Amino acid sequence: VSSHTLEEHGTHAHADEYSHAHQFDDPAQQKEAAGLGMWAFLATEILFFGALFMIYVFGRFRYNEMWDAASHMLDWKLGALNTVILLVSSFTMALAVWSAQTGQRKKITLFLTLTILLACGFLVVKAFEYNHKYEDHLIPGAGFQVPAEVWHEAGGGEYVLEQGPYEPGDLRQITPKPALGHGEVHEGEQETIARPPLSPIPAENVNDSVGVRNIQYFFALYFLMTGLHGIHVVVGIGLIAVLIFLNQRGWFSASYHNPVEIVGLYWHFVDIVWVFLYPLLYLMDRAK
Amino acid sequence: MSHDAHDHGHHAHHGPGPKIYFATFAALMILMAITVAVAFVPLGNFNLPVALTIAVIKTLLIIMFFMEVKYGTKLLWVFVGSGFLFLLIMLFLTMNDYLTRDWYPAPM
Repeated sequence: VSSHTLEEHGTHAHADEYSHAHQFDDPAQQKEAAGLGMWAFLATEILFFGALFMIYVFGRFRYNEMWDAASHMLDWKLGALNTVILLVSSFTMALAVWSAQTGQRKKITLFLTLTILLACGFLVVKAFEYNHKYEDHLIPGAGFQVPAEVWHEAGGGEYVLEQGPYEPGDLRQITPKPALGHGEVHEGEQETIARPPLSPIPAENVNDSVGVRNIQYFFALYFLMTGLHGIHVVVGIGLIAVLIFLNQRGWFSASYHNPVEIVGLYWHFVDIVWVFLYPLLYLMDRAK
Repeated sequence: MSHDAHDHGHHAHHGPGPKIYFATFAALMILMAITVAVAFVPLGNFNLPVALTIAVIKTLLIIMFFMEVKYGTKLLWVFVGSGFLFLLIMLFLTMNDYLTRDWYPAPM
């Protein structure tokens, strides 16, 4: 192995194109190492976003009624448009990687530029959405409120189902079950622990309801998740711009194009996150 | 691994080509349309599982073909799988707690 490696090093030292760093046997090994390293990073990204998705799952089951109304305040058409934009950009990115693998430098620049333009389009649509939420007073914080017309447009109905605070004596009764390892549970004991009931209040007073906090919770998570995703899109634009710059200086060839492949993996990951964000945030309870 | 690596020519291209990319892209667009269409069909509690199933299929398509994991080594599959395995562990164990708290109230 060692003689072969040395021999290879000798050849590549005088080659026109950069092939691989000296710690690797050959370009194939270097490429595999790069891919593994990127996937190790993406595993941490999966858990990074995963924690937010976990908060979402919790809130979705806990505040089901108010979150359905909150989700209807998002524009599913703009979300669908952005889904299409990102899927097309993943396609152009895949073509950019293929162009690199086959050593077609002009096509690398072409497809990377298309990817950047689509990514910018995504951010523009997102900016319109955020601005609309700002105008509707749906930015979480001191000024957060749900205007009556927004509530009605979202199909909120005549009444808000208010999930009240935990007050003993005003709680929903649940089916008595013995706690594990505690034998019989006497009736009455578990009533004080059950969830508060949902009581209807007129929609005009939506902002006086406790339930509006749950809508604010939804929007806090919406901005956190789409914001973090948006930051990833911005970072992706920067990375792709660097790729274009390096490609113009002749860095990439059929034998060496690991940066293109790795940024490609990153970009597809950003697309995957949106594949889950779109139905979970925008398409909740649309059938009712 | 070293032996396996030498079998690959430096300039040979072993990944999928534009045809497979386009087929993947077309499938993703169709699934995207289905996601939107199905969301407006009243399926009760099944709307969420259906939406998630489609999202998982889309993710598998992206990972296998766009990210070329299908053509990767077994070691790469382990790296890819580990991220999702730990995500599932995190979701499963945490939701075991949160979503079952109402089932057996703790004695006060």
